[in-house]
Amino acid sequence: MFNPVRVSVVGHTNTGKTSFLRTLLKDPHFGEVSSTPSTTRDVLMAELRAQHETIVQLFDTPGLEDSQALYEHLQGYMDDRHKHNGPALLELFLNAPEAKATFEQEAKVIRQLLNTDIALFVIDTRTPVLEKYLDELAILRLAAKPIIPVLNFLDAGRDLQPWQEALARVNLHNSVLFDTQSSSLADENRLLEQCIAAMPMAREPLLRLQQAREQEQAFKQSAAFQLLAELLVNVGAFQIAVDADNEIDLIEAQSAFKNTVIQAENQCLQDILGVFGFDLGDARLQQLPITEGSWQQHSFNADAWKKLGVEAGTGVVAGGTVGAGIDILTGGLSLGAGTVLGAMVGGLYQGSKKFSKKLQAKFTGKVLMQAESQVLDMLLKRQLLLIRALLHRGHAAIEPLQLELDNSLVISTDLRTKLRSLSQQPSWSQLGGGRGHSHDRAGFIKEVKVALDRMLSAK
Amino acid sequence: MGYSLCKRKFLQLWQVETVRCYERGEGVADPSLPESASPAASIDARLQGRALHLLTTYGLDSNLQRSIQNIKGVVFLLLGLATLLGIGLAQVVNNSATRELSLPWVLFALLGVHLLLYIVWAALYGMKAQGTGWFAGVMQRGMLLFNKNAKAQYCLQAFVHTLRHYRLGKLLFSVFTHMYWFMLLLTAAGTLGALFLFQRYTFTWETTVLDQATMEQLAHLLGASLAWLGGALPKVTELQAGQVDTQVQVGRWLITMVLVYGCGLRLVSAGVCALVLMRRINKLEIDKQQPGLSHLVPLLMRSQTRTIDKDGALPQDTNSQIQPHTGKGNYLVHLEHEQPIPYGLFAEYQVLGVLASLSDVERVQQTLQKRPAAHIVLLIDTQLTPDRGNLRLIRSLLPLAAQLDCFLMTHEGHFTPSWQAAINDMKAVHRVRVRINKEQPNV
Repeated sequence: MFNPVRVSVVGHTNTGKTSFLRTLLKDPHFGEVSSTPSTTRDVLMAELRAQHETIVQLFDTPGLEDSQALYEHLQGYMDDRHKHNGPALLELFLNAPEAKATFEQEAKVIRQLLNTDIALFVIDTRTPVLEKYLDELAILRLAAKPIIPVLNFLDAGRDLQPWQEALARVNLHNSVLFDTQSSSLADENRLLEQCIAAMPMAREPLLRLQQAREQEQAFKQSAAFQLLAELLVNVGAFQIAVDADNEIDLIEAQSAFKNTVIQAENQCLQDILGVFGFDLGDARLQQLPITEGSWQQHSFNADAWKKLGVEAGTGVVAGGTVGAGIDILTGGLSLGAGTVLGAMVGGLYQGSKKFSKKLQAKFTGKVLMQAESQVLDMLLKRQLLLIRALLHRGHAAIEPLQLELDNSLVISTDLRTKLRSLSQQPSWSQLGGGRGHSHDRAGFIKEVKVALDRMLSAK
Repeated sequence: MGYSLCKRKFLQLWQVETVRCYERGEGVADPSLPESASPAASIDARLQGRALHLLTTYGLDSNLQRSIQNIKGVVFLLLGLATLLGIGLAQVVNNSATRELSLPWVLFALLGVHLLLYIVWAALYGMKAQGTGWFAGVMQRGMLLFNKNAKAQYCLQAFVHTLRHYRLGKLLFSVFTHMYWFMLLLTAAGTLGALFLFQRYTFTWETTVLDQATMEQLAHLLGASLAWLGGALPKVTELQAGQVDTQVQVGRWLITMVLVYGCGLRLVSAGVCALVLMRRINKLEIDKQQPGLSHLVPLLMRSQTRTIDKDGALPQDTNSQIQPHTGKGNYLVHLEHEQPIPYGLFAEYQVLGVLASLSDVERVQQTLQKRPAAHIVLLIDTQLTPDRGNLRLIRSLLPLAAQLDCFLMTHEGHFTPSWQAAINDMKAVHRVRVRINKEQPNV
């Protein structure tokens, strides 16, 4: 039976060890993170799994704070018996009274280190290479465990050379770049490769873990696209019948229509955030234009359209609001006798289903209200930008998530045409109590997902 | 074994779907995730565990049980109806006072409609699943007649959604249809068999539609069709002779025809559909990409955190240093590494170098041991975190200076607030001040 690989995350205090683990575990609630030193005082353990199997046990350790004093203290144990036996020397220290008093915190790190397979030494690359850090490395090396340096906080233009040279001087050439705030799957894979190199016996399970994490990432992306495609279909196909001659009725209907769409978008927003492991009210979302789970500017706001490069067009109807338009071309007002006849007599089941709402509207003297294409463009662009930002987001950061709402996304003609065709499928919308489930709808959603994927990859 | 496994699996899908439908409609009342499944269990098992817990929390479990009972009740009623219709069909066939039955009419009544509908079923089965929405809608509404409360609606909505989303509806409907016809034809065959057993019937083989030659050929074909079972239809001429033995033989043949081409066909079809259905259900996994489920996956995949080594540090007295009341001279020290000295601020200060190690402490102590400084300014890089090590270095300066100023090199450093907090702890006991550089450190 395979024993999980035990990996200890060690390093100086406040280098982002817990943040690093949050990112690896994709759990924003793991441990405690703050800029105050000694935030982590216990050794915590969590697991990385592939399907049902625990592959890695990760140990979060307190920060090493007084390595210079400890290093000097350890020199006192150095005699002929321990000169070339680091682990025995550390055991000696752990049994000494100092390990329970002055160096209690460091002792916890060393105890854990002696009981693990690999140590990940997290380095804050924003700091210069100081002697105390080298002392830390010297102490850790006494445990005779493979050490993989993890270079954290990799802002653009950061000069990593001093750290890489310093590590090379102590014979550590296997450092991994891993920014806890914006890590990608590729970063994780590089880290796993180094773990495999350090522990070839665990190659197979670690590769299984790598595969599982790739699947997990693919799931998140696909699930987010599914949510967005569902939203587009629900809104694009949503129609309500209104009495066009009654202005009050029209305005009320518009308001109800808008609220339904806004609510659907907010639900989608919350679901997408959930798929990526973010909770509402998460401090890391405070920079997003989101308040209490809703976009600050709703999807019928012309300013929001402008930001995303959506042209307002002529969609201004009663009440001065935009986005909820009357189906003038094919709606109740202009539904010709031929169409009515075709739907009633010649139309098959599917055809009549398509026209049933229009027929109903025609006979009751009402018109159909539906979302204008700009609303769909707006929904698509805004949620897709969010998905893009979340895909490259670590779970570590106390830093808030930045989201540039701009017009950098271009909707293909094919996708636009597809979305416009939704107005012909009123039965597909789940808004307003519809069942919204059919073979064709599921197929349409699949096609939209492919188009969304293409749109995001094109960027 | 396979059936119960398949039944359990379908029930699990339905339960998860019920909770999903409810939460989409009513919102999530209980966001907590119970650990009913072991942490190493699959996501499906954990979703299932969550659904079971929430079915109780939301008060849906009794409605779900009632819905199951209702569905069973409806199936039982419909099969009961099939039995009645079977008896009715036998009565229609037997609607002759003279007990003289036209064989073509009896065959058409018993098997014709069934075979015609069987062909319709086969054609529909091969078609794209477009029209099933209508049927599912009718089914759902029909079920609601038995249970009208809002929670029951979610259960039935979930039942229909599960059938449609996982493409099980057509197969389940097929199994039901075949079983329905099986019951109907079995009852009809049984009723007729009993009639033939206790009463004497004569069968005629004549129609106004077909001529004698065609009739004979048709009779031969039909007779031969059961040859593999050893049952044959007597020749038309023998039939027309009206012998008792021949009539009994025809009666048996007729019942065998219904049992083989009616009940048998339906039973085999139901069995095949049931097998396909069971195989499909057994292969099914919960579609975790559905809205309302996808956001739960990251939560369920998270590992639990365990504390391995708890903090047991004892508080230590770190403020025991005695600070001199007076001193002479102003000194400047860099903490941990050399930093650019703010322009014009400390021009008259004597620089004592970097304080980074125990040997640095010894060096500074040697300089100031005999005559403590009046004022030491310590330049601190706020991009570095305060820790026990550097705070110990700072405290080592306290016996060497009447006044210690900790000069934080930038107010925008990552750890400026942490430094302020750490030095404020010392201020309570010692003459220590915090000054913050408002300018850029390299000016």
